[in-house]
Amino acid sequence: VPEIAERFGFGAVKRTQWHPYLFVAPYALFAAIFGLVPFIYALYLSLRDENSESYRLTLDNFLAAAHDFRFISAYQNMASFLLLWLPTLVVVVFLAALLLEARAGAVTTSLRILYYLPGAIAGSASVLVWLFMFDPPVSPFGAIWKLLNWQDVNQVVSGGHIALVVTLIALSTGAGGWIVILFGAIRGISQDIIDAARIDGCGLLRLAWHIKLPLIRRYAAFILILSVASGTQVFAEPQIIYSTHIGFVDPAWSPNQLAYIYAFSYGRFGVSAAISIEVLAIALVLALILILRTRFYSSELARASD
Amino acid sequence: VTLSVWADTQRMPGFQAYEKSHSNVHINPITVSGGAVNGLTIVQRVLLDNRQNSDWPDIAFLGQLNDLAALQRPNMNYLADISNYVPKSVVNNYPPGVLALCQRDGKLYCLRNDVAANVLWYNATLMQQFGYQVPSTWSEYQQLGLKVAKEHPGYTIGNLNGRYGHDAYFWPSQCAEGTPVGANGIKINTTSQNCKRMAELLQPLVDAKVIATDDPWSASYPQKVAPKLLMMPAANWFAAYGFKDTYKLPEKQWAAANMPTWPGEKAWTGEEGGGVYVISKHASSIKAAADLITWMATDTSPNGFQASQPTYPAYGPAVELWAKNGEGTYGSYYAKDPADVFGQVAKLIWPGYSEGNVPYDADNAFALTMTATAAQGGSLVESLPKWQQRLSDLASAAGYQVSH
Repeated sequence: VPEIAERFGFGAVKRTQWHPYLFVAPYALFAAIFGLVPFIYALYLSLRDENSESYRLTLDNFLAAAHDFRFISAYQNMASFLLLWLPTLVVVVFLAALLLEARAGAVTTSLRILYYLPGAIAGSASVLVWLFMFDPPVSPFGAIWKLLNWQDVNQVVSGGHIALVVTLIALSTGAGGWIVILFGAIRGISQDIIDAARIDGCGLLRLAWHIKLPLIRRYAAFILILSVASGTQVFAEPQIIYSTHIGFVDPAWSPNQLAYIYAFSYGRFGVSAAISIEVLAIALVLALILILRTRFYSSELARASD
Repeated sequence: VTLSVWADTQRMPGFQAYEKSHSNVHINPITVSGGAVNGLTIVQRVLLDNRQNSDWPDIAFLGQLNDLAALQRPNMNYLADISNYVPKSVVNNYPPGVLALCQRDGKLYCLRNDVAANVLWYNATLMQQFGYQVPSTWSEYQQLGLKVAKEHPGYTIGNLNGRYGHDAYFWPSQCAEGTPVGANGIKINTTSQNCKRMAELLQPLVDAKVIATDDPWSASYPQKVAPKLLMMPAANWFAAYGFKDTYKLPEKQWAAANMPTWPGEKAWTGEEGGGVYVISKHASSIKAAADLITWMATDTSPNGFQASQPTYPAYGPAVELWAKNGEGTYGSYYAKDPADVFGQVAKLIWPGYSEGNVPYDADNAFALTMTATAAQGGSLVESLPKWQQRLSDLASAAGYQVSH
């Protein structure tokens, strides 16, 4: 019998071995074409000496990028955007999802769609919508801007405000999708647990704080990891604000924009690739920290044994 | 001969008309919308074509003069010298100075389609109603502005935004914000006396809010600033596209005057646009391409291309026909025929600067430093060094040798 079981087990493992690969194959293929190959090419470009025909490896491109007069400010802008955006995103998304789920009903369904709608508008179009919001005389929030004594769009979209402006735009377009996903996650919590907590006397607040939140906490790491990746690449929002000539925005506000200028204004693809590699490295390091700190991939068993 | 042509929808019909009347030339149109084709501007397209070493557009119409400077950078290797293909008589028929930005080291790299020199636009109806004279000197301009601030608060006489701040004030004041020096040098000195005098002149006007800092194309401008425009130094096309088409201001009110002068100097002005035609050095027949762009820029037959354009022709002999054809159909809008003034300012563009001298966004550099200062109520003279620093940084990053 053990022999049969072993054979049976062995056979089962061997049979199922192919299925996972089949499922992963399309993703792996596209990840290789649109992720891995461009990365390798960028790495090659960034390390190659642009000025020589030979294939000498050099760090010149990284040095040239670092010496650019906009280099430090671009990274500062990216950092202040991430510091503003990431915590706000997590708080807003969790709060909205928990509130939505706490009293689920007909209103919830329409609210869920309402939250999701801004995300359905293409990113660049929503920036243009926001530019109206930031222009006090035509803004629906004109009263708020007047309260702050801001008369024209140049005062709203300038200097230190830009990180905030970009944060608002990114939140409005990105938060809705996460709210819907998180809502689904909370719905997925076993009704037995919720009922048990209710019987033990949990109110809505305690239920949210002590029961639901701990169970969906890992989603925070998930949201943060994906958002760090997209946040370090911030490009469309500041680029469109710049190209509409509204306010005072540096065309190299973010590192990605600086990379864009090097490639498509100066034709220095090596320096551009160097900046891209730096941005990728930052995103990877931040994601790694998040994964290790939250033990994102560790299984429930491993946690229980700690 | 087949020629690929990179041009916007306004220019493409002209190329196609040429194709119809010249059986030996076939046009392969690459129609630009919003300044780009498939998300690529002409500079980006050439950079990518250089990498694959093929597929360059043979002819390009450049609506952004910055692109001309970018294409002239040594690493681009794109512009053909057409001095041997364009007749000398054609070159000589351009008003003096108009072709300057196409000429370097005795070579010719482009032909101009239109001139977009700045004039002093004024609302003739309001000026008469208020009892004001059109200022002919900068100090009269300043005095009138201060008077407007007192007698008719809310009205504006100009704009210090990123575009017009430097092109309509500092350039006409002969402020060296980007003068080419040799093949790869550029002189940037915005702390010179010529720049300082303009900053000092503008300061009280900005403080009194008779000069606005808003962008003329912003969403709120048509209702916030435009209804109370008294004067505005701006491009020759601004009445047509701004006052009429965008702000819908009433007909028969706007007239053009020469720019104000400094004592003992000419009525220098600057420019806001003005397109050029260029040819790729990789074109299969530079001769055929040169013949085509010469026709586009300079044809003076009654049904020719220039006679029917909304823009003011750069080519001298085309102007008369253009004016007769209703000045690009906007003729009836003006209070007074502006053709004479347009003709005068076309010869008065100060040659020490041009958007075509610099590949970077000089408008943005001005906005980040000078306009930002003006909007926050700061000192314009004190931020001149900041402006100079910004321009110098941009120029060195683009590979120029900067001198001051």
